[in-house]
Amino acid sequence: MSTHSNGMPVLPKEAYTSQEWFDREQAEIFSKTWSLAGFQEDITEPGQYISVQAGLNNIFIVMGRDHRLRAFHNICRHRGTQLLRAEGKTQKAITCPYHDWTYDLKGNLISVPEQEKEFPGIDLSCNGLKKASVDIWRGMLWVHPDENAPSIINWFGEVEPYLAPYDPAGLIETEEGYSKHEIKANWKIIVENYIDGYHLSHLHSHTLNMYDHSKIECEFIGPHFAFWEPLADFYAAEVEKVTPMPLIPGIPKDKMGAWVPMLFPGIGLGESENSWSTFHITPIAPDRSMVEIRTRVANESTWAFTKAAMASASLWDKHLGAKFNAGPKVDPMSSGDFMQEDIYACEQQQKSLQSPFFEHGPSSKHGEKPVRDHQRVVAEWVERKP
Amino acid sequence: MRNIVYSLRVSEIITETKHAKTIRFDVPAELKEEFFWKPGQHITIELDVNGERVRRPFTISATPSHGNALQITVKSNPDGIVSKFLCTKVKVGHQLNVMPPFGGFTLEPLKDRQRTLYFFAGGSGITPAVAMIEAALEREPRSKLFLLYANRTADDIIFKEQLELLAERFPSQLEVRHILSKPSLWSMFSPWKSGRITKDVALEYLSECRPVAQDTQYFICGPGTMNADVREALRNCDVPTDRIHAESFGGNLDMPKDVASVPALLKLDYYGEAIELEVAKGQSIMNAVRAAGLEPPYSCQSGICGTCRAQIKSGAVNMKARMALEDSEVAKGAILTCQSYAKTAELSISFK
Ligand code: FES
Ligand code: FES
Ligand SMILES: [Fe+2]
Repeated sequence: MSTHSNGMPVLPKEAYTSQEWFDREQAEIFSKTWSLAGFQEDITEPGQYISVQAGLNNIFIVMGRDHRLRAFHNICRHRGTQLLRAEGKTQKAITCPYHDWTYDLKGNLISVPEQEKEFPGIDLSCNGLKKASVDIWRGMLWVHPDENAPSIINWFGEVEPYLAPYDPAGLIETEEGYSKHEIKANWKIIVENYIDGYHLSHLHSHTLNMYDHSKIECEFIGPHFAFWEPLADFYAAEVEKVTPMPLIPGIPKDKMGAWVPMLFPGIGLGESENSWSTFHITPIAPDRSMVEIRTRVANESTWAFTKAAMASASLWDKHLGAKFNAGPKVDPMSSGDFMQEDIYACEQQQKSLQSPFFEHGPSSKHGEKPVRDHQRVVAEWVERKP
Repeated sequence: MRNIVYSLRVSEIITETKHAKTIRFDVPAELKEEFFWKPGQHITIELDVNGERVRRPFTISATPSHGNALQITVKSNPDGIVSKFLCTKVKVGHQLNVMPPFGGFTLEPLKDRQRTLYFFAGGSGITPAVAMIEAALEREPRSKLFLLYANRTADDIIFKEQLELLAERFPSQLEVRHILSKPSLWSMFSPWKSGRITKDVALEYLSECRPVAQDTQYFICGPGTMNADVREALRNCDVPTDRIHAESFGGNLDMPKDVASVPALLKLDYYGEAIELEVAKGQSIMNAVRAAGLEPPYSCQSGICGTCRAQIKSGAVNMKARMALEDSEVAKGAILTCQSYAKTAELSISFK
């Protein structure tokens, strides 16, 4: 694949720019792994459904009357029309908009208009919806295109001990913590930015300084990247008093900090002492990706949030700020928002990849080791022989 | 399975409720392997009642792990000779004739899986459920277990304390609910519901006890008609049949009284030995084999335990009851000899 020696990037430039690479990743990575489909609370009632794109597959999840979820490929068995869009609630059946073939919530084909005349002798039971797999893990919904997918515990079990010691299902989602960003960069550039420990105390010198970047513990566990860093000393000293939001219960004092894993492929989590979020990267084109962020916080009263924010305000004014002191409108680097800082860095990097003068520079020994490791994981998956 | 009976010493007897007792056995070191069991399996107790040999299966009511004794929990049944004897006559130190663990209604814990396991138990049907629950709590740490336990009154609840302790020890994993058909007005105990497990109750139960892990399995361990009722209720909630597992315990089973039969010549492959014998009209294959002086394995004699299972090679039989067999096994020629009557004048059957 690459002749780069140790300390140099593993993937070639084309991996970030060519349609061919993009297609291979869609087929070999995003269509063969567990995909994040949402939060557990997105489907709560029998008949309720959501549909998601997982690589090349469009899959919908619907809850049955037994309150168990079922996942099916969102493809009519007649001529393939997509059956359900986005999200919603159906009664007892799913009818294809094209010729009204109808399926029950168990995926069985139950009626075909003008069956006798148009399809004499058809065996309805051979034309049920194709099944996919669905499960819930850490309060999130996951789908896999294969009906007999390896269990989700098989896929995530080994990285579990490296995640926050609380159950995210017990937290509640906040509207303020939701955002969606279309970023003009290849999905791997965004992953690499997320797992690059080298940039934390530089790019984010004024935004993420509540954590102690000198004590990072991180490594790849199989295809997944695990990351933890403790609170910075000034913050740890009185975290109960100065946390800007109520603390999430269940974290031992000596483990207080941030768990920021990047699950394969492209599913980042940000699990901290006071908030929990998903950072879900979906590739759209070789040079474009969508990032959707959803956030949960401790299940506490509005009053508890107001109180924490007020009590901690003066401390955070002192410690947080922007890297350069121009107005945020002029320069993203002065927005004081680490997300803006990252997006800017990713998009600029993607732009440069188009230049004939672009050449990969050396990769740092420690801080950027995860970047090379992730490239190795990607290379391994796209080269996999069936 | 050959037909071997061992004499085991009763080591301990525990009174569970007014009508139920737990009997523990000493298993000598050299029999430990023979008597290793899977959660949900039963052993067969053989008694000599007025010169007649009587056998009955009883579920092992503990999980097969470190140091747990082999034990059964027996509810005395007025018409059950064996259960009455076990509850009233047996004392510590007695020797009882016991056949090794057997049965296909089991739960094998899967360490690296997450599942949602639902148990619907009625009365003494709690015995396999409790063995399975203990095993899963111990060896399937990511799974969630829901038990719905049906009894007549609060006093009839076997393992009440043990279940409470388990729920306390595994608060995020086990949830126990009770349903009583005849709750006493004076009892301090308030069940989740009174009445029976109908479709509406099942729907309500499933909506309150929702699965997180989507690999759901439903185990029904009830006496008599409870199995059919709960199965029907679950099916009405769209629970797929292949996720429902059931075993019948005690009580009256609705069985056809008689099935058609013809006199037949039976060619037997009896553990490799070729034997020919005659089966009379109205005589079960099991009885014909025993009448010929052979000792085939058997236990419940009512089609529940599967101990008497054999394979049909040619000809055909009518079976009265066959709860112990899956449809797919019957399709491949499995029969329960205690329930089988000749349908063709010539038959060949093999015991292995
Ligand atoms: S494509 Fe769905 S009914 Fe024809
Ligand atoms: S002896 Fe139990 S099924 Fe025949
Ligand atoms: Fe960053």
